[in-house]
Amino acid sequence: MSELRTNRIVPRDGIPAGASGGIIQVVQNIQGINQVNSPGNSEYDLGLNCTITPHRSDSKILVHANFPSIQEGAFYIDYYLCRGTSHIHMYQTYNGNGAWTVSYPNLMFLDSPATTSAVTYKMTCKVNSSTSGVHRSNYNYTNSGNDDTTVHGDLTGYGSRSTMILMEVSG
Amino acid sequence: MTSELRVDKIIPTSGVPTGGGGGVIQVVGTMNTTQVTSTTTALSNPTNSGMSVTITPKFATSKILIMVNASMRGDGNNAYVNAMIKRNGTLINYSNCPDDGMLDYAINFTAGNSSWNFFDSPNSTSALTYGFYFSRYGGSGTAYFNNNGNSYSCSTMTAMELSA
Repeated sequence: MSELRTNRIVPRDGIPAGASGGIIQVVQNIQGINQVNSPGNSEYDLGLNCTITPHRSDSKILVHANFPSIQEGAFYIDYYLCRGTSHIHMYQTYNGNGAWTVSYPNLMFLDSPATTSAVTYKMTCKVNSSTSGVHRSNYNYTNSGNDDTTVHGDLTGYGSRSTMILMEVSG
Repeated sequence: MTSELRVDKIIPTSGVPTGGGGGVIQVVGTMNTTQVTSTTTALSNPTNSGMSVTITPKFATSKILIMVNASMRGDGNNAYVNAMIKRNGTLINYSNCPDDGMLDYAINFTAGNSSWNFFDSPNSTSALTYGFYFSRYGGSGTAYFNNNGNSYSCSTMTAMELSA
């Protein structure tokens, strides 16, 4: 058996400008229990988060997040990828006709946290509306008028899940 | 001559993170553009989309990172879609959620590509085939794979072996 123990993988001739090296570690989190109703005009934690401890401060973290969503009402939704409490990336959706609309936002972002301490990434959102519109993450469409989280993920019901993958990439 | 490192396992010097994986040892992937429809509502017997990947782990301790991007749509009267992954024909529990672990996917009339990423711990060094399955849930219409309503679309599936 061959096993390589290392905290850094780079091409023999070095990493090209703007590129990264090999993957050192991967962690994930799945958030699918709590259906979230987001209040208007305030930032709201979706409950989707994941923590990684980089082995080197020059490593980069590749974040891939999926967060299915449903909304009723014509408004924008700003989704924020946060490192700790800081916004580092944003994704916006819009529903023009105001009817119930399902969307599947996902993002991929290469971050440079410059630390070897534990780093937590999380998703938040802000509904740009003060009206009575509704936005839910990890929606349960059939229970849209009644947050029945008990059926979420049940084989006899509907639901969806959000996932986040973090990869430490050699820098 | 280029340099080449041949290794079966890549582990951080301090070990693999709890619940996670180390480096990527091998990657397999597929793209699928074949339209498949389903009217079945039997979650115990969902329709095979035809999209699958096969990977043979080097170690039983390895984790398999499954990445799925699937084009799905339901039509008719509240025809929702459920999607799931089978490993060698058996539905897998892919999360720590207190249920049976299907992908739990529900859409209505909206077409779109949805993504999932999750770890599997197959505890095997035999060939593993991960297949994407779906079914209609409720309503009276049809569930579609790779058809967005106006034209065909595309789905992808990738499996990575992570050292652990």
